[in-house]
This record gives sequence, C-alpha cells and structure tokens, in this order.
Amino acid sequence: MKARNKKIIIVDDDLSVQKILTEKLKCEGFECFGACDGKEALKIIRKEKPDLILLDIVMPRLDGISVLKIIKKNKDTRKIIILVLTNLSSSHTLEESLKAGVTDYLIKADYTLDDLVRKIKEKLHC
Amino acid sequence: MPTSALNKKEGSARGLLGRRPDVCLDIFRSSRDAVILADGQGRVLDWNKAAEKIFGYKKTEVLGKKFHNLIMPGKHKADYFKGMEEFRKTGKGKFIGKVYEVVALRKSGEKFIVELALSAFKMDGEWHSMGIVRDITERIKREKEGLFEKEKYEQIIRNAVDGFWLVSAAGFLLDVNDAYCKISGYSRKELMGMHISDLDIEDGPAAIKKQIKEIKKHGHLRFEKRHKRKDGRVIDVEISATHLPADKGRFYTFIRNITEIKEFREKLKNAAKFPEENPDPVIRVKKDGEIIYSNRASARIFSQLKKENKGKAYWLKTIKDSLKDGEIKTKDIEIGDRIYSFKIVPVKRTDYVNVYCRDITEERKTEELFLQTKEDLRRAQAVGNIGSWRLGLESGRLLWSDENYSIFGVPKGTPMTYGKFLEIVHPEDREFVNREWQEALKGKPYNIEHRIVKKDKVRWVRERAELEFDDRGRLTGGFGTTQDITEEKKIEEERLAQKARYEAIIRTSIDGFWIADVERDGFLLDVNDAYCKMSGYSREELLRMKIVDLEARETPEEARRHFKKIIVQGSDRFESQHKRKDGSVFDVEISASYLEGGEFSVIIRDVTERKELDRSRREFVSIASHQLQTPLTIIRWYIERLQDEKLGKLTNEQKEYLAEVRQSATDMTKLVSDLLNVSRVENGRLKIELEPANFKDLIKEIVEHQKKRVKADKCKINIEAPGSLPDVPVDKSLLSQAIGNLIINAINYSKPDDCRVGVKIRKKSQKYIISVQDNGIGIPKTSQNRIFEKFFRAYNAQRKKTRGTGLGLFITKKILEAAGCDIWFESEENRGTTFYVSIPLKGMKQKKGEKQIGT
Repeated sequence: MKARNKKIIIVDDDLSVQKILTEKLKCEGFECFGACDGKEALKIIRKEKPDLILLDIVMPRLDGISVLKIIKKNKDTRKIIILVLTNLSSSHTLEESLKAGVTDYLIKADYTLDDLVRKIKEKLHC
Repeated sequence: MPTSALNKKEGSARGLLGRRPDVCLDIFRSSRDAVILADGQGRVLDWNKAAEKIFGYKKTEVLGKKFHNLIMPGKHKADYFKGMEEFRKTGKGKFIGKVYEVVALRKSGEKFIVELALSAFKMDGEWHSMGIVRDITERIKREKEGLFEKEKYEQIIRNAVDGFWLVSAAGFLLDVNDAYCKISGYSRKELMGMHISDLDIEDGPAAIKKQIKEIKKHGHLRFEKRHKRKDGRVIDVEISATHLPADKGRFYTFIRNITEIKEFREKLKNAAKFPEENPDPVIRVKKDGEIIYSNRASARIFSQLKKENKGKAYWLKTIKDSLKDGEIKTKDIEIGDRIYSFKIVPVKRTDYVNVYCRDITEERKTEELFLQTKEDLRRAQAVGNIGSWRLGLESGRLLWSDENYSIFGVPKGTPMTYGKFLEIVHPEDREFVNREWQEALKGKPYNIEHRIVKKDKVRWVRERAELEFDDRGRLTGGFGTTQDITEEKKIEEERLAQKARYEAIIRTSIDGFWIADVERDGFLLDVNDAYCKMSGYSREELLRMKIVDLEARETPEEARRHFKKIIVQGSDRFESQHKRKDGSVFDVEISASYLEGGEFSVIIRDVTERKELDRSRREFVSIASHQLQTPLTIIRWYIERLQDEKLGKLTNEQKEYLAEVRQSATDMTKLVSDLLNVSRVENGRLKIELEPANFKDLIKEIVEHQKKRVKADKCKINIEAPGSLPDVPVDKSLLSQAIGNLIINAINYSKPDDCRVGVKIRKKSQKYIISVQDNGIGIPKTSQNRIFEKFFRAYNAQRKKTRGTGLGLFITKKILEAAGCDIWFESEENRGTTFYVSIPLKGMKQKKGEKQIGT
C-alpha cells in the first residue's frame, strides 16, 4: 500500500470522530495522530510533520481557521495538504478557508467513510 | 285881369265892367270859382257852371232853393241864421266882406273845405248876397302835406338818436341836432360853422373835398369814419350822407356812433366764430326741417346721416315734439362704428330748434366699461364670496355691496351702521373687533379674522379695510372687503389637526425621523427625539450636522450617489450603519423618500436588536444544525465501519438492521441540512453566485451524481438538448440542487421496474426551459396545489418506501424564484409527472447572502 508512511493528523474536538476516523484510516494504511484543539494540533503538526491534516473548524481554545492561517504562514508547514472537515456549511467560513489557502472544504454530512478515504487518497496522489 | 282894353279917357273911374256889363256875365260864366247869388232869405238867384261842378247840383236843381239847405253842413247853420237877420236889415254881417275857410257840402254828401268870399249888394231896395266859393281841398292837402313833411322831418331830426348835420357844399356845418352835440361833446354854437375836417381825425380838408365829390357823384354814400370828441376821445361813426343838389348843393348827413356797435360787432364776429370753432356739429333747423344754420362740422354728419338714410323725415317728428313740449329731446344714433348723441333744443318763442351733436362713442364705451366693471365686480364678489363696503362719513352709514349683505345674512338694502355691524359679530370677538377698528381709525392696518353669528350659525370672516385720511390725519372715508372663510377655516383647522397628529406621531415615534436638505450633503433640517436618543446627540447638535456625518457604512461619495438614486426612484429602503456621538456604530434600517421641494424625509430604525436576534437565530440555526449533524455523522460512520465487517462478520439480519439505522441517520442528516437551507431561504440569506455554465454539461453532471447517489443504475435517464447552447450565467450549485432534486424525485417516484426519466433542455424566445419527466406515480389532483408547501408530501408518495422530508420542492421553488427562475409542473396520477424550470436567457439573478452548500 502506497499509503504507508503517509501521516495524517485528525484535528477534531469530538473524540468519537477522532476514534472512528483514526480506525478507518489506520485500516487503510495511514499513520494517524489526533488533536482535540488548535493548540494541540499545532504542537503535533510541528512535531510529526504530517502529509495531510483533517481540520475541524469549531474547536475550543483555537479554532480551525486560525490554525489554518498559522500553518500556512509557517514556511515549514505551508505545504501540508489541509482538508477542512466540518459540519459548518456557512459560505463565510468556506470563503475564509479558501482565502487562507485550504486545499479543500469537506462537509462531514456529505461524506461516507469510504468517500473520505477516496478523497484523501486523491489529494495525496496515492 | 288885363287892363289893355282900358280906355283912360272914357270913364276910367268906372272901369271896364262898368262900361261893358256883358263882360261881367262872361266872367260869371267862365270863372273857375263857384259864384252864387242869393236873396236875403238865402234863396239861390243864380248859380254858375263852376258851382255846378264844385257842388254837383245843376242850376235848375238849386234855383229858388235856400242854399243853406243845400251846401251848408249843419255845423255852420247856427252861425248863419244868427247872421242872417242882421244881414237882411243892414246888409252887414260877421262874414260879409271877408274871405274865410268853411266846410261845405256837396250833393254827394261829401264835406269839403272851401274858401268863401261873401259880399252884399242891394237890388230893388233889398239886400242880396254874392258868394264866391273856391274849392281849396287840393290846396289844403298840399299845404298840409308840405307842412306835415316839414314837421315830420324836423321832428325826426330833432329826436334822432343819431347825429344830424346839414352841411354846405364846401363841407361846413350849417345845422346840427342835439344828438350830435351829445355824440361829440360840443355845443350847438361850437359846432355851427365847424368844418368836417375839424371833427374827422383821419381826413384833412383835401380828403374831405374828395369825399364830398364822391357823395355828389353817387348822390348818397354810406361809410365809416373816426371822429374826435371835444374831450379828445375818438369814436367810430357811421356816416350816411345825401347830396341835395336842389338845395344849393347841400348835404344832409346822419352820424351814428358805432363805437359800441363796432365793439359789439367784433364780439359778435368772434362769437359767431364760436359754432364754427366747435368740432361738433351745431345745426339750427326750422320746424319744417329747413336748415337755417349749420357749422363746418355738420357737413360730416350730414353725409353720414345720408348714408344711414336718416333724412329730414326721421327728424321732423322729434323737432315738432320738441317745439311743442318746449323740452329738450335726445336721440342717440349709431353711424358706422361711432355713436352720436343728438340734442334737440327748442328755442323759446321761435319756430326753430338748435341741434347739438356729440360723438359719444368713447363715452358710451367708458359707460359700458363702467357698467361691465361694476357688473364684473358684483359677479367677482358673488363668485369669490367677497363682499365690500364703503364708509360714508357724513351719514356714518356703512354702504354695503349685495354680497356683503349676503355674507352677513342681512336683508339686502338694510341701512347699516357700525353699531349694527358689531351686533352681528360673535359676542366673544366683539371686543377684539372693536379694538382693532379703533386702532384702524388711528391709522393701523385693518386685517382681521373673526367670527360672526349668521342666522344662529357661527361663521368665520376675514375683513380688510383701507381707511382714507386727509392731510391732517382726519378720517375722510373707508373701503373694505369681507370674505367668508368658514370653509377655509375648517380646512385650516383640519390641516392643523392633521399636522398636529403627524407631529405627534413623529415626536412619539420610537423610530428616528429626519427632514434633510437634498443639497449640502443632506444637511439636517429637522430631527425627532427618538433619533437624538439613538445617536446620542442633542437636537441642537444634530441640526448642525449632515447625513454624511452620521452615515457609517457609506463613504460621503457613496452617500451622495445614493442620494441621487433616491431622488430618481422617489424612495429607497435599505440597511446601513450610523455613528453615535460616542463613536460606536449601530445598525439601522432606513426608509428614505424624496419630497418635492428638495428635501428628504427619512425614517431611521435602530435594528441592532433585530440584527442581534437575526444573528442569534442564524447562529442558532447554524450551531443547531452543526450540533445535530455531528452525532448523526458519527452514527453513520460507525455503522459504516460495522458494515465493513472489519470488526466482525455480521448475520444478514444484523446487516439489515444496520442498514435501517444508517438510512435513518442519513435521512436525518438530509433533514437537518434541509432545515438549515429552509432557514436561509426563508430569511433571504441565500447567496446566489453566478458563473457562466453550459447547461448540457451541467445537467449531465447532475444526472450522473444523482444516479450514483440513489444507486439507480437500472434507471434510464435520457438527456435531450439542442446542438449548441451558449454559456449562461447561473449559480451552479443552486441549479444542481434544483435539478438534482427533480431528478431524484423522478427516479424515486418512477415505476420501479420501468424507470425512465427524460430530461429536456429547450431554448425559447425569452428563456431556457429544463424539463424533467417521469412515468411514475404522478401527483394526485387533490394534492397538486399543495405540492410546493413545506413538509407536504402527497399521500401516494408517502405510501412509497422513499423517505422524503417534504422540503425538497419547497426549497427548490424558493431557490429558483430567488434566482429569477420559475418552476411548475404537469402531472397525472399513475401516468407520470413533468416538472419545468425556466431560466431567463440572460441567466439567474445574482444575490448577496450566505451561500447554501447542500447536497
């Protein structure tokens, strides 16, 4: 599996979400890390240097958009593929994310697990 | 008697008749005078031929008869008889031997004067008489005449008013009368012997001589001269000189002092010019129509009258009547375009009239104009309900026009005084009115409104007056107008009441209110308390500010452009933000109107709270949907994982159960998503973003996507579209959702074993039409009118296993309508349904909002 060695960070304050996603992705051969809020996310990102980030928006301490902006500002982390994964369907958030340089904006409600995996593989070219 | 036959020798003492008595008889017979011989009794003894001629009796008739019975008139008889006695005795008598004049009687009875010479002679011893009678009638007559003439003339001359001269052939005054003495001032003595040239101031003796020659030549001459009076005064005289060749070439001259007359004549000449100078015709006409006199100006009138055929006959009656009545008659006649007034004036004690003619066209016009003006004034007053009055000072009476009486409800013509007027004034206003009037009498302008009581009703009147004063400030008169303004007042009161109402509304309104100047960046002309409260500024402060100072969202330039837009549209409603005094900003909803006259009327509603509410609601919906979606997502994903059987194999039943749970979760997810969209669409927060899209490609994409979603591989979806279609600006995701929804419905409600869906794209003149057709269960007629309602599902759809939320069509319709498109359908139960969507040729309508990102 080409997915080996691809690191994905799942940023979501809902542990259940983290759990199921990690489980599914691990099964697909990805290496997964989880973060519950923005600050934690940044720490892990700096440490693990992932290939892709699944980023929720509504989070305590530091929200997704801010994280996104910070990641994109840092030249070390700028190139990481970021997929916003949220149930927030506001166009305002979408615009901001796109402005901040997000790779894609996914609404949880629209995706099955398989859809997600396909999307991730597509973005990682594997 | 000739004495040639005398013989001196032969009895010259006896004379001829003594010697030849036969000659006596001849003389007796041939004498022209009557010779009568009579006896002492008076009996005629002889009677000659002359007697026959003179008295008319033949000799035979008178012989032997007493002559005093024949030829003596009664008058003389008494004297005769008296003398007779004496005569018979003595032969002497009073009348014997004398010649005297007596009156005699002819046979015809005519009395005439005779000269009688009576003598007596004795014959046969008795005394006899002989009378020689001469008829001196002619002589008497002549003498009388001569005497008469002379006397006459003497009297005339003596009593003449005119002066009289008897002038010698050389020009010397021989005799003058008293009148000339009076005229000249000289006495008779002084004048006698004067020469004409002494009195004539112009002519000297030589000239007089010449003049005398002239008079001689013509026999009679009349001329005017100037004479000098004794006192030196010069007088004008008229001379009438007659030459008397028989009377030693003398002249008799009458001199008339014509000084006064001359003056008078001058005056008269001038006076006579008078009618000629009159530009109007002056004519004197006799009773029978004959024109005695007409001045120069009459000629014009005559010619015109002739043209109008108003000749003599037309005038005669009037003239006759005028003379008869002794009254002036007037006739006004139109001649051409002028009007003439003829005044026929009878002249007393004559048979003629004077006719004076005057062109009264202008007068008439003025009169008519005056009457017209008067009538217009009356009408104007009636129409305008304005009455007028005049103050006549002498009487203290108020002279009212008809309309004035009408306004006050007083019978026309009632004599009015100030006191009476006051009685009509409303009791409460009397003091005011009287005060104003007293002030007016002192010169203050009088312009008041007050009430009156007219026939028990209260009316309002407006009074204006102009009082007239002389130089010393004393009142000489006045003129005023009255207008019933009751209606006006009512309207005014109504208007004021309404104004008060609106002012109250604005004053007590919770919303802010402005009146602003269109110019000067919206300079505030008026604001209400509510806005002061909203903005934190005081009224005084605000009235020094402009709209651009308060507008926080638009720049001054944008604001100015917005003003223009409001002027053009007439009004606008929009949201904005304003700056408070403390610098904070608050949300407002503006409703602005442009008022004729260059002002904006603006209502400002502070929508901070509402916006907050909106935001809260939006947030709530967002958060709610977000919060709802999260657990749903987890349910789905965990079940998916279970279904993967990576956590353990499943029995068929377990798989079934899991499928049910997953489906419900999916349904709920859709419902929550739909609810969010409904919320957005209902609150107008739907964003419509356009980009050019190719319908064909788009539809294909949608079809593919939907097919996959509902896993309807068995379904045959056919797409029909014209060869080439231009790219149309649409919101792709919205259109996808709309058409997608229709396709899903078509698939879901199709016959399960024969699923056929037809999608057609057509280009019409004004729009594109996309239709989605199925051959499914159709929409029952009873449900058709509710198909677009929220949560509505037709009963036959509900029966089907498909789980619809009932929101799909509602959302679809709302979205499409917001984008300027239309949706409708045709359906028959159990046959199929076709939904149509029309999109304008120029594409969807762009709209600001929050984009709905949906499935």
